[in-house]
Amino acid sequence: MAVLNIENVSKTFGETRVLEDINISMAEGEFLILVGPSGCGKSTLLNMIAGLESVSDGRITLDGRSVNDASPRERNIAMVFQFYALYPNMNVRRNIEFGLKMRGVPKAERAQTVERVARMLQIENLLDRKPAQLSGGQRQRVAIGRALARDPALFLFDEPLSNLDAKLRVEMRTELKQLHQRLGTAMVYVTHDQIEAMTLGDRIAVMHAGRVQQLGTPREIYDDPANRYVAGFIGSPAMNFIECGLTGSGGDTAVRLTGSDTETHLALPQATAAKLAEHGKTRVLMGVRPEHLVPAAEADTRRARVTCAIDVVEPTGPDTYLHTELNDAAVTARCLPSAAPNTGAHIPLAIDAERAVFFDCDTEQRIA
Amino acid sequence: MSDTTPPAGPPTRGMPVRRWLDRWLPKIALVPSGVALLVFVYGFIGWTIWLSMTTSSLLPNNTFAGLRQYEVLFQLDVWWVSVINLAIFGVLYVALCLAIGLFLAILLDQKIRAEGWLRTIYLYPLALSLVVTGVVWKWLLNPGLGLEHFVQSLGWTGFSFDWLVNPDMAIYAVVIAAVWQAAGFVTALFLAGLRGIDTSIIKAAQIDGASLPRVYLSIIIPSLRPVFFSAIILLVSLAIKSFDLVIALTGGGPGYSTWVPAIFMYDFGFNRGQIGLGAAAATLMMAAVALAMLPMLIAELKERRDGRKN
Amino acid sequence: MAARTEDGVARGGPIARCIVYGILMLAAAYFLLPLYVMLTTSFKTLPQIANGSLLSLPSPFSVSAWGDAWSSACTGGDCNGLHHYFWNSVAFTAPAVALSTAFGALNGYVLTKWRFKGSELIFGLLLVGTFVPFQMFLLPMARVLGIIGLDNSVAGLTLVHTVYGIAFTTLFCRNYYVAIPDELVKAARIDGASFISTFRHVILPISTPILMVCVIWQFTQIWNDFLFGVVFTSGDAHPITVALNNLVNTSSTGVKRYNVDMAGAIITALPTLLVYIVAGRYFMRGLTAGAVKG
Repeated sequence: MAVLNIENVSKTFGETRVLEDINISMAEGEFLILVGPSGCGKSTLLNMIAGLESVSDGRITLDGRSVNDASPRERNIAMVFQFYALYPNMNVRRNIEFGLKMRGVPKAERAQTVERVARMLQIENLLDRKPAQLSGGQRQRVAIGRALARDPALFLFDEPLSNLDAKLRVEMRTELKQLHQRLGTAMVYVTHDQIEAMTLGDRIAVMHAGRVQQLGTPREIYDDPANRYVAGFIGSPAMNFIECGLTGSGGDTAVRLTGSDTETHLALPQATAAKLAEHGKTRVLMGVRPEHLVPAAEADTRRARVTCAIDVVEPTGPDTYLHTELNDAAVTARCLPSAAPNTGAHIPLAIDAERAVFFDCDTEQRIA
Repeated sequence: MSDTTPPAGPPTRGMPVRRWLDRWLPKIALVPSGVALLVFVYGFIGWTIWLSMTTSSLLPNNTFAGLRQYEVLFQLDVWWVSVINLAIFGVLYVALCLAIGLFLAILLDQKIRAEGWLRTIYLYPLALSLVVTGVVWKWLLNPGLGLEHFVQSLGWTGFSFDWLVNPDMAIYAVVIAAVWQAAGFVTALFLAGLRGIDTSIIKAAQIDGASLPRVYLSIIIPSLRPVFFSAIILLVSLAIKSFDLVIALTGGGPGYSTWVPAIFMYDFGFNRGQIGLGAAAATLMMAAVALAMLPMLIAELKERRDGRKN
Repeated sequence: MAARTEDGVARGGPIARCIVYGILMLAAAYFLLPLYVMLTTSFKTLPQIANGSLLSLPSPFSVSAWGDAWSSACTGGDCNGLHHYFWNSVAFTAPAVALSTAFGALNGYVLTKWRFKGSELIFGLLLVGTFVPFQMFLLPMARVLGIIGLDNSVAGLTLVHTVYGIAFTTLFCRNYYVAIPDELVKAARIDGASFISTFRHVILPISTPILMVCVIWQFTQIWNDFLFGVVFTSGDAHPITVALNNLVNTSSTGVKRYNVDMAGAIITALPTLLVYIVAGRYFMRGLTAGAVKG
């Protein structure tokens, strides 16, 4: 049975529609990510699951029970907030046990739970401190502890790591993943950080403009983006988008590419070519990730190559990125640091046509 | 781990009541205040306006009289004395409070050692009842034994300071006491405003070669505009409402040389059995306050609209 | 030559600084003078006042004026001093301060953390209401108090002060609570706390500063009120401010007893003055909050 079921859910604030026809079903133990830019409606959706916002249209069920009209305390959920939201007047112990107290759990049992949670999160030594005496990371641990104490059927996380510094964020990310593996409880996690989404999620819902653009595993989202938005949002550096004309027909359809001088025709895999031909337009938007656009010297010799002028060379350590132009669009290529060319050099780049994806120029939906 | 934790699952019975409470309790909590607001503020405003348009005299009645009471009011000398007094008092009170307040605030902002003490001393009059202020200044300003007598005893035997008993000057005596009460408050407002100014602007101006007075005149004082704004509004509405101080200091006298609209309203509405006239005076006082508030309300609304856009 | 301090703002030379300090001290003397005269006069005897200097210290030191002001001076009709009216003021100030503060906190909590359609309108109406001169309320209120039998009573004054205090306390609390993150209330709701338990366990414990502001502001306003007192009560039910005014304007023997007047004025001013000395910073915060938003 699905832990959480969101069916045709919409949300309007006055005249504005902030969520449109959301459908998500979550399996037991799943780690689901809602990712998108600010204002995409992801936090609103989370608040609706929590019962902090009303549902305008559609139905939300938890454990098979419709909770549209249920208040937060009637839902078997716990939530961790971006700014921790620890009760400033209570020490850590009382923060953690507050939810149990509100539900009338006897004192001895509460103490036991606090001990267990504190041990799990290694915050036993902080129990008598006030939130103001804690560091950001410690506060976030306490906030997680408060959620854990309740042992809910579903955890909700609202950008819990975005207030931590970069290093701590990475550490806590790993810890959260371990925690999920240990507890096996379903989690819904809201973030705007696509790396967090990719690393944590069993499945990711990419949201934009009040809609779920794509719902799938990190692999699916990365390799098979449903539209240009998803393709551009996930991945760093971002996918290259190159508008190009088509030549040939049927299974021989190819794309025309111009680098620094001559035009090249990039042959496509049979299936891709057929889909593009069937789509019928003469121009398409090609999406190529930087790792699939590499100096020809590093690539399979059979691949099509196009000579480009390198404008900027950006070493990042493990990789070096090259900025250049294809069909007058700025693109990023990746190369080995040892083989990095100089700025201004003209070098041939090879494109992995197998991994290229194609979108309609106008609708921006995936064609092939 | 689940064996030690409570069943946090859905309770079933009694839920509808609880859910109903969850939904309605916040609104119910506002009901007493909301009702009080509607009845005792807006209801009474309407009632007073209505009374001002009836023939009510000793007892309120509901005989509609249009603007008759206002016509009568405008023909009463004592009303115009009150209005002119309020104008004199209001202008001087606001101007002097602003001038003294700004001046003292700028001086206090020069990294003064005893600033905390001085601020406390400047501000304490505001904690006093206006009646107390009136009583004290009545003593200080009385010609027989007060300041006049004191200065004469120092040797200036010709010194005369009889404002309190001089019908032409008594309203200025009220200004002295009122300014004494509120100047420290305005100082505190300006000081808070000065503290809010980004000092790097001042530094930049000084590096550009501007003298200190120049910096104050052309940079600091203009940036205190919001403080001027709220101080003026506050002082104007205090001036229009002023009643206690005048009663305690002069009792409205000599004669009715220090009457203000608030005294007029009280005297006609409660002592002379002219409820309609009293109501008309109150209504005009509210209109005056509204007129003074208008610029601020417009600015506030504008700000809100701009704020929503962002 | 302007000397520069560590943060670069010019201070002016030593002579300029002497002038600045001089002016500030002079201003302090101006503000303190009435208090000084009030105190010294209250400890003088009448002959001393008539023959001595305004600024001289009392000698001999006499407390008889204080006794008179407290228990035997004439305040209009009777000659029992101010003590009865002092307790009158206590009797309506205490409950009115408590009630208006409690309602203000509750309203502020609802208006910031449980917003609903129309709650902004209610707040707007409240805000506008704080500007209306009290004169607008006097005639109807006198009538209503008469009808419900609370005219000329301490209970009536309690009601009046509570009602017209709520607008200010709500304003203060609303502006304070609006800065408390909404997440805190959301967390409490997720934790299963109800509307009331969230208020009790989460909001109230962090409200001490603003409750102090409300209490001090309301105490000062209500204790110092004269208008409502003089309009809605007579004789025995007067608050101390009205009684003081009567005391000053009643001279049974025809001789102005300034020492008794001053003692009475200090007795009237003492409660608010003490509050100001003890909790001045909250007092200031209330004033600026009231000035900026109300």
